[in-house]
Amino acid sequence: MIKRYNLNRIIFLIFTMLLMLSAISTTFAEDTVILNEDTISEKAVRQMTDGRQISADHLKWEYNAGIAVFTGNVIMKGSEEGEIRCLKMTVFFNEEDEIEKIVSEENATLTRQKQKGGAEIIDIYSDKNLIILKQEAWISSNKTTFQGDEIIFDTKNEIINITKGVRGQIQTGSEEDNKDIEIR
Amino acid sequence: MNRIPQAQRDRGTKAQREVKRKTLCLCALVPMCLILFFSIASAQSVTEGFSARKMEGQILKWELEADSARFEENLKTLKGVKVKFYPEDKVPFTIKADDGSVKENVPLTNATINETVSKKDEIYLQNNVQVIGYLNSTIKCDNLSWDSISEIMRSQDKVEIEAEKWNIKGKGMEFSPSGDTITIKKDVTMEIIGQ
Repeated sequence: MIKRYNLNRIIFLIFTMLLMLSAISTTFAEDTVILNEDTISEKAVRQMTDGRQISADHLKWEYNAGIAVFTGNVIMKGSEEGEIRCLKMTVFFNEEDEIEKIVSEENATLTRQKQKGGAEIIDIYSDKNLIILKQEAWISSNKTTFQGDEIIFDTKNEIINITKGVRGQIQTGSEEDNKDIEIR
Repeated sequence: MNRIPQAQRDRGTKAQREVKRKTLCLCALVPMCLILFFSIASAQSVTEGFSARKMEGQILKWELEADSARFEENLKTLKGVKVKFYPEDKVPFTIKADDGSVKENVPLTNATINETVSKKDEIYLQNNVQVIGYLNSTIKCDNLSWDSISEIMRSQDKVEIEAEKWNIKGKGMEFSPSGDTITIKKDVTMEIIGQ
């Protein structure tokens, strides 16, 4: 009887120890998972925050020439320049697979936090912090809209330089009070 | 009453029994022979550790290795495939796949009489296809086909291309092993990391 009682106690003790061991291992395993998740999320965050994402219907990439041509419903997101939408986008890469220049064509529009713009062609020089809107270019910020043949936008210093045939519109009060400005 | 003598009747039943026995034996033997024949035939056509290479004059174009191969006329069905391409003036690259097939000397359907080449070779790879080293990237897809006439690799399904500074996802792909142009046919998304 005593032996059986002891046996039951031993079984109970072993069971408890196993339970504790599994609990400890689970805790450590969770730590490992969290660490791994951190590593993955770090990469994901890096991609989301620093990464440029271009989606389109079609891509033709001439790798050695460093030219990637996206066509059809092109949208570029996640860049410092803002969101670009157009029908054709050409991305020029250097030998280190880094972007040198982006040319957006056909109904190109630019949406930034403070500005909106559009043109037939939008050139982006990300290393120089420059966006150049060419042909029937326009840019609007708050209550002002400017049009011109070429708008040079310094994204770092937030300076807009409009050349050739500049026309502007400043909304002073209600929409009826709009004032048109033409600079020749 | 027309009575058959006992001896004659016994002979009749004996002959019937003999016919029955022979028929049964035949019925058992024919399938057995068939099974034996096909098992021998199939055993002969499956080879462990298969390899092939394609030369054009002195130039090695590609070499293929497979864990096993089954031969049927001019078709080779492969498992555990590894193909290494040697494009001219370019870094060689490797393609791996779980399954594949090689068709040799496939007649060209629209070949003209003047054409010197009237037959082509085809390589078809499927399941976990990986192109390693082409344009400093790894291409992952479910199927990939190539033929010796167009010399273009094609995939119809989802494609993922991963490189150090970018990755591309899309549907349908074409590229030439000797060239440097990749075309993604549909639903392209390119992520350029850290730029």
